[in-house]
Amino acid sequence: MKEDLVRLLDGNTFVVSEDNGDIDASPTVPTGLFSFDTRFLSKWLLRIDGERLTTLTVDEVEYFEKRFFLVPTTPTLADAQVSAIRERCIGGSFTERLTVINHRSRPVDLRIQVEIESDFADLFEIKDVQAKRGKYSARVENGSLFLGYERDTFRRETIISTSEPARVDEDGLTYDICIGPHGQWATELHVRTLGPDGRDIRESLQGRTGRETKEMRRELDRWLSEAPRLVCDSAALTKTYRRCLVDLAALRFTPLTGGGQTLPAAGLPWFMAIFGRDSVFTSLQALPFAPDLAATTLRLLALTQGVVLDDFREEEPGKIMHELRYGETVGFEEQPHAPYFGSADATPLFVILLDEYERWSGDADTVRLLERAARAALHWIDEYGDIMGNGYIWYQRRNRRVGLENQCWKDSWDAISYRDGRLPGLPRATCELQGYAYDAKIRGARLAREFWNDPTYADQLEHQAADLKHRFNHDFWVEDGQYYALALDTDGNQVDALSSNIGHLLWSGIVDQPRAAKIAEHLLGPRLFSGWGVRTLAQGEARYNLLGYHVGTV
Amino acid sequence: MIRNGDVQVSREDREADLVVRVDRALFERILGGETNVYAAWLRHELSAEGDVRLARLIQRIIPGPSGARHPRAFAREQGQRT
Repeated sequence: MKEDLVRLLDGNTFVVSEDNGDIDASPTVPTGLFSFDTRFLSKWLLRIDGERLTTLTVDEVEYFEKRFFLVPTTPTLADAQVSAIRERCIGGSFTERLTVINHRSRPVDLRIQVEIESDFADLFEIKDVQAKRGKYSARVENGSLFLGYERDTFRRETIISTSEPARVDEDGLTYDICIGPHGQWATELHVRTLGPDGRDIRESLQGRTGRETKEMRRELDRWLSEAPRLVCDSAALTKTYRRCLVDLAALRFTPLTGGGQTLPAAGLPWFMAIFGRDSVFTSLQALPFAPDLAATTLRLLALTQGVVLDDFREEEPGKIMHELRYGETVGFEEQPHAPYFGSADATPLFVILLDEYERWSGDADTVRLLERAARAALHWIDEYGDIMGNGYIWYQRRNRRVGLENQCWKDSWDAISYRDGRLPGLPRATCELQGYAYDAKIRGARLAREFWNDPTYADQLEHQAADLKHRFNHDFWVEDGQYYALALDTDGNQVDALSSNIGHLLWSGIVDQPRAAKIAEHLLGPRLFSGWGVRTLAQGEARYNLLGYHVGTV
Repeated sequence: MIRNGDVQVSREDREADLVVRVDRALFERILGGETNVYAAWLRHELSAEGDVRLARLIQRIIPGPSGARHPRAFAREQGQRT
């Protein structure tokens, strides 16, 4: 993916463009205007007298607001006679104020064109937009361009309007203008994204419309003022802290079922969705600064917790979801994300977050409110997570068409291997899953004793945890390497590669105390520590590749 | 009313917390576990106005798809095949 792409976002409504502001989507450069996992603009090209524009600079005002300073491509920069500014923001709608400036002392006639198209691709299709099942439409009405897509009852529409009069056709907008000496001309373009009932898609799927830029700024100020204040004499530290808070704000996502509350999404822009694992981890790490994120995450994950057995979605009773999406392919059940449950770690992590949240916030009501959900999660560990019936958490996909092969945080297909590079069969039991299970049981015991008035259950969980720790330290310990195996295979053999997964064991508490120093030595030793961070897989393992996603990168 | 898994039905004259509109054929497919409320809502075959969290609670009392397997049973099946 190109590194110089410019992104604006407001939750899961976002724009990704080239650094001159143009959108010209292709499978290799997936740009566009997206909302709720549908692309509403796949082409948005600016031309002045037929020429594309080159970037002088991009002013990154906020995560929802950018300014692009541009000149036509042909003349050398030094003698540009005309320049343009695109001021773009995403909030109430996607808005772009386009200003064209004449630097000459005589008037100039110009043709300004904006070429527009939408393929209404689902987020799952952007790397490979296949023949869409629905019908496209394009029409011009009252000076606005309407682009539509319809498949049975599923409908999406993009409406583009302009403040200055333009010639509008199905391919976009054209302005023939004259700008006086040292003068300028401006127009404001609005792009609205509509859902199935003709309302703004955010209103349809989120229960509220987008907010205007002013409101977004106020909201960001409020977010910053509610976070703990850092006072210190280091300007660099103050700035870094503020930057972190703003970045965390950008990562927030408002689900329809959140009652206006926000929780952290997995990553921007492509993972602006609820992911069990990522939302839990970010909430956990942000607890000292923004504990409300955890409260929303916990409530939402409890609401969507698995109830039945479902092979397509890999759902089981008590399981916490992996990923929830909003697009066409999910609606028509071609993709399982309604939600998809293909992760084996989210369920114990849910219990861990609930306990840690109470420790930071003292919010006992939430712990009592979520008792049923937490008990169901703890039950899942023993009943459905323990696929082999031997007291460990395992995973094995039942959706063999689109399900994930690896359902742990390293979810790429080749992430779990033996030293010699072979891949184990399924099911697999990775080491960190056992650490999370141990931690969840210990923490669940505290909750049972202190909040659920069930000391018997607490004793039972602690007994199970002690037994798990004992077995784990025997079965996973790689004697000749002095570390824990990456996983166990179905025959109970160690998947013996040295990996960063062992780092998770340290905070889980499952590591026998005398072994902790050994694990730390490996993590900071020559085979795993790159100088910048801990590598996913150790140097010397057969699949090690310093650029491989889960097989060597930091 | 759903309380601890028990469902109680009554007729009352008051504001609805959530109104779900769905045709009979689709509703029967949902009840049979052939499709789910969320997917039907995404493709706009079902509409929900009000507190949509309640729609998820309705889904909870509906059986899942037939033929779905317990992960242990699935693993045993796969093990026998290889």
